[in-house]
Amino acid sequence: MLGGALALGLTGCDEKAPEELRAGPEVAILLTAIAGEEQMITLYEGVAAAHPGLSASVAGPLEHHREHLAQLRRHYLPGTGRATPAQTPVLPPIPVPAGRAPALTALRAAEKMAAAARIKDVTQVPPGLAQLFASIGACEAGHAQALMYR
Amino acid sequence: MSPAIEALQALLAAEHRAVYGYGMVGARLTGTPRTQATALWDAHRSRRDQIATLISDAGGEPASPEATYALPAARTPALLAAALEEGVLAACVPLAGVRSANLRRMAAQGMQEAMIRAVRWSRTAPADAFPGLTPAEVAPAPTP
Repeated sequence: MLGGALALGLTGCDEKAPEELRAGPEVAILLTAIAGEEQMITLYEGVAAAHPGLSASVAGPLEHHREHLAQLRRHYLPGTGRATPAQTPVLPPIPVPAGRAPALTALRAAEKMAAAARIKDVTQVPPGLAQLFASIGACEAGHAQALMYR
Repeated sequence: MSPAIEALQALLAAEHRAVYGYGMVGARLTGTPRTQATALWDAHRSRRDQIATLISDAGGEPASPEATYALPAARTPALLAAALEEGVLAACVPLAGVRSANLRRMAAQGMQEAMIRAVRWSRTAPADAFPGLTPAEVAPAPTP
């Protein structure tokens, strides 16, 4: 069973005034992964718009990334005050190449980079979330490979 | 048995099965695909031995292979190989959730490797957004 919402580390429970809630390092990793999925979705949508002939090929991975994003967002519960970062970081859009082959190359590169990031992520998030990241990474690695056959 | 050893044993069982299965795959192929199957048979034997060593080092007794395995029905040897890789991928999931970060990384790498091999054999993109996970694992029911 995967873990649910992220646990925030309570810093103390002594007789002094309660310490503020501090976000664990996994919150930053989760937010970066969310931003990465948003960037990936924008790239796929851009490729589909610029290259209508590729829209059928990109429909599957695009849907998967939307599912990843929805699932990652379920794990992020915005806190109050300084408990969690105020905003999800936004990554700059990846330019959509004009040609069909370069567009596929850009998608492959983005998928490979995302898959590599997930391997690093699994070492830094709690075990339950690590299983989700590992699965998302496998999906991304698979799409990077499958795009070779388009 | 510690959760880590239990997870390693599950992966070892999947690797035993893959080694057996790739023997069947290779026997049904010729030429380049056969060479590829042989290389992957070797890769799975190495991984099997590596996992057995990790289990021994952690104080466990590596599980022995079964005499035979019921393999999935597949129309072609390539699709059988893809199914074997999907089995290895799913068997990595418990290991991706253990306390050791090194073992989690090994599991995540193993899942990606298995997925890439499955796509190479089947020539089809991943079918699921969350390979290796059941719907209940992806979206656990809220606990009161």
